[in-house]
Amino acid sequence: MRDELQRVTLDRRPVQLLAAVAAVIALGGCAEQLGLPRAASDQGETVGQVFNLYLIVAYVIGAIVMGLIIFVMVRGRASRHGDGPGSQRHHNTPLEITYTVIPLLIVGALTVVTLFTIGDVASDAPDPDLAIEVQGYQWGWQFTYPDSGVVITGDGGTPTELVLPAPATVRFTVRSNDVIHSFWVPAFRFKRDLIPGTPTSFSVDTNEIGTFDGHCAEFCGLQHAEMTFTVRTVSPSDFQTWLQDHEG
Amino acid sequence: MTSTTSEASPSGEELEPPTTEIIRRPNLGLVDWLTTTDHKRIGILYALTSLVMALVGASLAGIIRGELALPGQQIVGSSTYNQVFTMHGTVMVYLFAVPFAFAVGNYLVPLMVGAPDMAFPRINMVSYWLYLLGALIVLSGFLTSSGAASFGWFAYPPLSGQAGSPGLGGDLWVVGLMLTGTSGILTALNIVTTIIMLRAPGMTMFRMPILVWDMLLTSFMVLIVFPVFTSALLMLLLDRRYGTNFFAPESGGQPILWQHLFWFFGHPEVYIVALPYFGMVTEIFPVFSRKPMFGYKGMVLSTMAIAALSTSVWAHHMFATGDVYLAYFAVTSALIAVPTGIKFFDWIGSMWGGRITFTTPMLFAIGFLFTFLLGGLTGVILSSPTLDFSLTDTYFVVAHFHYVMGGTVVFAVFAALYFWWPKVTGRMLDARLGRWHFWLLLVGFNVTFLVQHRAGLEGMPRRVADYPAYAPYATENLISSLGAAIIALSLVPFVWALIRQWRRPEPSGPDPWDGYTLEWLTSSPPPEHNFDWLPTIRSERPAYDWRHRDTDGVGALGPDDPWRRRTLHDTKWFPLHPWVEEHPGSARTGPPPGTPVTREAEESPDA
Repeated sequence: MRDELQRVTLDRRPVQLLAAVAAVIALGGCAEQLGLPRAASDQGETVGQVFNLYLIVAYVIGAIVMGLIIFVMVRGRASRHGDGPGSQRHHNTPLEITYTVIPLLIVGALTVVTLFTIGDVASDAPDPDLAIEVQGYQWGWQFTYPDSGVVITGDGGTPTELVLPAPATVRFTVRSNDVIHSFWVPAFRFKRDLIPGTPTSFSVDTNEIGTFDGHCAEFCGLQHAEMTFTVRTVSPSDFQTWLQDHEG
Repeated sequence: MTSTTSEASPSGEELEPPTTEIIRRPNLGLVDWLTTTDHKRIGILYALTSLVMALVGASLAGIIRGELALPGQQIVGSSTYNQVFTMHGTVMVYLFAVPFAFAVGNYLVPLMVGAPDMAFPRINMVSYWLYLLGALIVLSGFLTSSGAASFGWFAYPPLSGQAGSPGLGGDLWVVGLMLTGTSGILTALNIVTTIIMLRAPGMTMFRMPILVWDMLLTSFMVLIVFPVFTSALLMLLLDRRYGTNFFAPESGGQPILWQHLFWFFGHPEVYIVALPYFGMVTEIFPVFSRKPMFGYKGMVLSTMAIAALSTSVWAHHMFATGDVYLAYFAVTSALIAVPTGIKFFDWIGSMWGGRITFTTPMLFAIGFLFTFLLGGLTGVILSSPTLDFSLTDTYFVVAHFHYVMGGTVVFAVFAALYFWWPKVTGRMLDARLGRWHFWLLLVGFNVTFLVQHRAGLEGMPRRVADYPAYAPYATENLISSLGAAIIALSLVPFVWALIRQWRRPEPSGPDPWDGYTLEWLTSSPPPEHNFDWLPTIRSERPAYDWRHRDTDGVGALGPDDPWRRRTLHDTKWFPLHPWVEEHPGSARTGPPPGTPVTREAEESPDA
């Protein structure tokens, strides 16, 4: 019994795990996007790669642990063994150290990946192609293009439309004067809370032309569910035309 | 349930004449229950109240799933919907999950450490009544003209401030939670004192059942974070009613301050909810595997690590504010996966090579394992700020915390109910109905919440009363609502089992499961003072040792005694808690080994 315990758990599993993790890291970079909808920004693509990695690791670990539970249950069922006492073994220090260290290594590796990508995702470009000021209010959005003086304000009916050039580096400054809102474009795979009294900024490198949904992601009262907007990305030349149409 | 003293204690009193005069109160029925300071009755009151709260919370969840089943569906409208999801979270977290853990702690901690009652029985009674009062005040918001609180269970100002939510419901929410918070602090004090001061001779710290350890560490966490929360609630109340500006930005207050205070409480709260339930299933796995708990020390140390880490991860709820230092909180949050993994492997190890019988409590404990596994894995994903920016405040998070805080708690609650029901009532619950209950809940729960991960990834924000018909997550919502109906259905066999045990009682005897811990050595239900005698406590399985006292290597200390080996091991690795060498007569509080184990037989030689 003891031998079996150590043979299976100490020798075979880590090898399987290591092989799986190696496969995962190889796959993570080039696999198709899992789960998330199409990305429309460079930051979003980075998020997608990291998400793939985490998700595959989660699947592999989940499968191993779930398999282990089922294996233990099936093998240990009393109907197979009769009603005697089970193994009375109550600890195994090397095994316990192993199953502390292996998760530590896996989590450590994932965290390193995260730490190296936080900066890319929560970026704040000092010299953007375009600056946008986002103001959230109960319950709508106001988008200001400070360089050209264009202001787009929601009218409560159709979702407010934010027009952006693509590809371009866009720097958003978000603020709110009433309650907390959150500016979220699922296709950018990023959101930022609008904290009253504390404006913050971040930048997005758009890289896709299309129309994308946006929501308020922080519960903000009665009509929170209707506080949506759309993002329409157009080519830089179309964007200049659009700006000129809306100026003055 | 009320006839705790009918058969057992009269003869018990004959056996040992009391040295001080015992004044028995007449049986006053309901008045007895309303004025009781007995930890078991208070535990039952706590359990009943929190289960009623669970039903309230589940009904509110039913409204939520009804509203979201189809796009455009309006069952209650936005305003009521916002009250409903706020109160669903509030009721489930503050009024069900934590109080039910306190119910189990109240009932079992004194029994498991061999004490006659909690250290402060009257404070215990005050805690219960404060909890009930607070709960009723929170719920009474529904009776006001402006409705109950509707700012989410974490009440972010300025929305929860005077301007954001002027209604009385918000004030009732704040005041009610201050009372339940105070109740929690008192209970935690009581549990810590009981565990430290009232353990029976021989019950060293490292012989305590894991549930007792988990209750101890949970109580310490309560003592650290509940005062912060209660104070923050007071600040919010002052902001709302008395013109202060702690959180109001227009006059120099900081909305973000509330988030820090709240989550400094709120994240440990997640573990305050979870740890007692970990303890409950940890008591169940070894018993039905006919094995000792595997990796006892590792389990205790990992619980300590979780308790310690939990106070340094709060800002991972605030990654999207752009106002916290991401790297630090990313590392601490991810680290929690390690002690959690240790627990997982300890649970698997406790079953490894065992003789597993799939009784109802065991089934629910295994359901807990699967649920917690999924919630833990998505937790690792969410701990990464890179991914959290995208996933936070979506249904992915909703699914995640319903796995870690919802499913695990519910499965562990039912595991505990089925496991200790015979101890509390003296009656068995039907096993076949229990299996139906388990399978329906397992299917219903996963149908409801598994698809919510996908809805979140596809872009569904949380806390929305409605969504457009073209949304890619419309199908997921319908599936989820159908799952909720299966969950509701799963309660039918449970209620049936309750009715059945009430109408056709099937006596359980003191120890129907061949349990390991001290509560199985007393009668079911236990007498008012819990124990007439206690066996020698030489391990964390005193009842097992007692049952096998004639088996070689279990009962007596010998040169190659397993407990002696264990002693040497413990002394070497944990010198702070040395095992005390037991001298006959000094450490033993019961009759010598060899006397039969049942209560009747134990009393007969002297009678």
